[in-house]
Amino acid sequence: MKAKEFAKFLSAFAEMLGEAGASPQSEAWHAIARIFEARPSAQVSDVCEVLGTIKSPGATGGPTLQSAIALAPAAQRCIGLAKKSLGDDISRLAEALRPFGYLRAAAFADAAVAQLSPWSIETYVQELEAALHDSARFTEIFNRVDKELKLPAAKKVALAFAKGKAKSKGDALDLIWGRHASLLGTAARARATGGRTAA
Amino acid sequence: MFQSTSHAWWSEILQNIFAKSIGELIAARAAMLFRAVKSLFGRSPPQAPQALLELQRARSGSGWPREGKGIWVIDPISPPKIESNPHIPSAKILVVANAKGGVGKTTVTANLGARFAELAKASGRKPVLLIDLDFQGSLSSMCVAGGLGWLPSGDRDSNATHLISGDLAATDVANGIAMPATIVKNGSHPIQLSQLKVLTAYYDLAQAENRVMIEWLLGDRQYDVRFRLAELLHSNAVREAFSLIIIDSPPRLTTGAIQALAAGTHLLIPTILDEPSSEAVVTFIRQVERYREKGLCQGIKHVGVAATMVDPRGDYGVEETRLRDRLAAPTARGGAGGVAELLPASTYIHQSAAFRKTGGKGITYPLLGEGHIAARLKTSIRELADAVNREMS
Repeated sequence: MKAKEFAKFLSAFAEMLGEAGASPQSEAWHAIARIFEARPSAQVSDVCEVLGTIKSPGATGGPTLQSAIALAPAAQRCIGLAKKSLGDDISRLAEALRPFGYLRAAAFADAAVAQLSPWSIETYVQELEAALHDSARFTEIFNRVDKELKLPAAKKVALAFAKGKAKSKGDALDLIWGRHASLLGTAARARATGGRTAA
Repeated sequence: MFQSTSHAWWSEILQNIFAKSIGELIAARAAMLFRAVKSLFGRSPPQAPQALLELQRARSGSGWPREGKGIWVIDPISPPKIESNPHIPSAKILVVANAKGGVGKTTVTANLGARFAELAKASGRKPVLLIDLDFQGSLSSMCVAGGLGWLPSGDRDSNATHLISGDLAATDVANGIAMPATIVKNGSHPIQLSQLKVLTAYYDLAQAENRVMIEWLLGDRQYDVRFRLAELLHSNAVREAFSLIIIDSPPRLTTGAIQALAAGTHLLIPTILDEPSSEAVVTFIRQVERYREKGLCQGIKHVGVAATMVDPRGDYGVEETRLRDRLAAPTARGGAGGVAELLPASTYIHQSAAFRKTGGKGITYPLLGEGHIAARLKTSIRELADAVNREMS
């Protein structure tokens, strides 16, 4: 299911909880719905995958995620009867959120929205530049480029970051990764030289 | 102790320094030389074993022995104290070097020399001296066109051999042995280039470099061979004779190359803009910095990295970016730590048929005509000279 449709469902579910007087749970589900609104064209499964990488935000007020997660099995059982794929997505979401149950829903949603909101070309380039000497972070951003950008945008990032003209998305990714890989090669060569001189 | 194991011992030590077969050859000669020295003086030269012990392989975590710190950083490193006349401008010695071959060192040296000589003539300054320290003699051949007069006669060695061996007095370098650079235009007789002289090299230099190093390792410690050229080129007589000295260094860290780095005041590193060459630039800079730390070339200043053989129609953005990354990367991550930068694109020396067409006729720069391509090449050589001049001023 697309994130946009899922967000609509979660908002409706949150409304229902609010009308039933379950305000903390309603608030938590509204916050979760915001996460899916941030990446409307993505699949729910893709968004859930990103949720696993969110860095824990600082504590703020409001209900915890656990208050929402607690209702997920019931929602999944109920909705899944009508539409199995939706039930599966609810279950997937609950699984993704479970490790963060102790966090405040609103703060977590803010952090997730910041991570999921589309980046500009400049942001991709800046993030890649900043991560040049940090292999793990560079790989993370590179994967985002791979997943999130189509050919025209990937070409622009390759030109701005690696100063190379790409003809295909594969070319663009090669150029971007190549700049990082060349620095890794330099570091490896220096380690092999071990401070010795060539004489 | 030494006599009983001498050949095997020398062989092992020298095989660590040279390729195996050469090591074996030299080992036999070194052992003979050592025995001769010993018989002459009746005892071992005290420094010889110590110098060679410093080259021995070390234990490593892998269980296999590991190469040591290298020949040229053997202690003690003793830079000479040169008493200089404060009324004579200090020496400007540009070393054009890169441990990778085929990157345009000789072409850059010759053409920069010709441009600086042109400037020296225009402003009434003293001549420019080019020194060829690559035994192939390419710079010598390029600079002295219209004959083979630069080749040493059968019973003599080339200037470079005498230069690194310490045979020459400063006055020899200042007044006598350098040859005027010549070009040949329109098939006529050679024309001397004003204000440009060259000290030539040929294949005897290769032997001389090994000999000087071995003599030093064996205990010839009256003076530090690494600084022989420095003593000569920073002398009052040479400083007074030349406004600038440019040294074409060989693509290996030979005796000549080390003497050049120890003598140099500035370092220019030519490179091709491709992946292996840019790797080699960074590795070379790291080696120079290692020598600097050890006190071998403390005074040398990086002018920068000069791109050569650049296709004027090519797109080099990717290669430039990667080279800049490597140059700027911290030394802890294998980079050059920002000590040198890639010189601006206006200084790039383009690939040009002019270099091929002027082969045998002398240095390309003074032979360039008036066409569009010649004008572009002339401009880039002038831009490079200006960039070097700014750094050296």
